[in-house]
Amino acid sequence: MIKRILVPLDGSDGARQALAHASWLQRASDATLCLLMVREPPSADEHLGAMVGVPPVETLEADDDSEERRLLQAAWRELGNAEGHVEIRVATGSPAPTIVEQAQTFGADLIVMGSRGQGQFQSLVFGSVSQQVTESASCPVVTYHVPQSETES
Amino acid sequence: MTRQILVPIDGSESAAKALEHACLLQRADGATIHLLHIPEVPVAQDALGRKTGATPLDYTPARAREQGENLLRQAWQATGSHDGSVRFLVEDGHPAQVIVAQARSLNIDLIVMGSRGLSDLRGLMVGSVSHKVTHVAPCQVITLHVPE
Ligand SMILES: Nc1ncnc2c1ncn2[C@@H]1O[C@H](COP(=O)(O)OP(=O)(O)OP(=O)(O)O)[C@@H](O)[C@H]1O
Ligand SMILES: [Mg+2]
Repeated sequence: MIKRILVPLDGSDGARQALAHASWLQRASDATLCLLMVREPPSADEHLGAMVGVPPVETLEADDDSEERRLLQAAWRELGNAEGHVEIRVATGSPAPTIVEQAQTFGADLIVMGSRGQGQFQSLVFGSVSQQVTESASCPVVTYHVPQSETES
Repeated sequence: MTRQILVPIDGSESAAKALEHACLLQRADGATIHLLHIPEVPVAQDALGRKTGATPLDYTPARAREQGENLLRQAWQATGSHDGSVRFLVEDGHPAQVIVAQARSLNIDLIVMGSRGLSDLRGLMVGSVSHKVTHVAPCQVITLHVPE
């Protein structure tokens, strides 16, 4: 029986639909959901600061994850499952390894994610993040594919 | 409207897990589950068969159909969800094409399938059937991957 479901969200439509699916599973199994958003750290070479060793302005603000938390809270409320158990997480790092790592510390027995995130090529069935997560996660992974015709519109 | 879920079954562990997953969804919303098997013509396991790809001597389409029906019944029994509504379907053709065609004609809302199937290519993440189906299916598709 599924007890702990991790759902990584990146603000894409596919991820939102994956979340709706996870919500069905939660209702059927009474599992705890973990909504995770991964922030990518600004890459050092983008900044002059990396050369002179001064941290870019963005990293000074990077500790403030209230915006991400607010988004995740809103996504949770939208599901309308007020009695369900939920945990909100924001982590920083490269998406796929961070998702796998968070799945471990959360004790996920299932990861549910969209097949493609934001800005992926339409021709790819699996985006690179869902592919990498599927390859390296130690628990089962459900990938949610939205029909091509819906993504084209 | 009752949600219609299609679960293609090839007898693999991965497909069995996908079916378990579909049963969980059925418990949540009372969906109807359609189990579909497409017999794949086997290659005889003797030396000649392996060399020429010939089918076993005792292979007949009627027999394959009967075995397919048994496979589906056993897969369903293994889930223990005896009170959910279920249909069994055995159809001939190319697996991916048949799955997509059936999804259309049965007005399927969701296909739940394994990311891998029976072939024993280790390391392959997505089999050719699920790859094709996720590309062209007219409805939402869920693939379930179970770590090796
Ligand atoms: N003949 C079939 N009948 C019904 N469902 C099938 C059939 N073949 C595959 N499937 C479905 O597709 C899923 C993925 O199997 P697929 O055949 O794509 O992977 P594979 O056997 O590992 O690789 P390949 O067949 O490409 O060598 C299975 O879990 C099952 O749900
Ligand atoms: Mg196969």
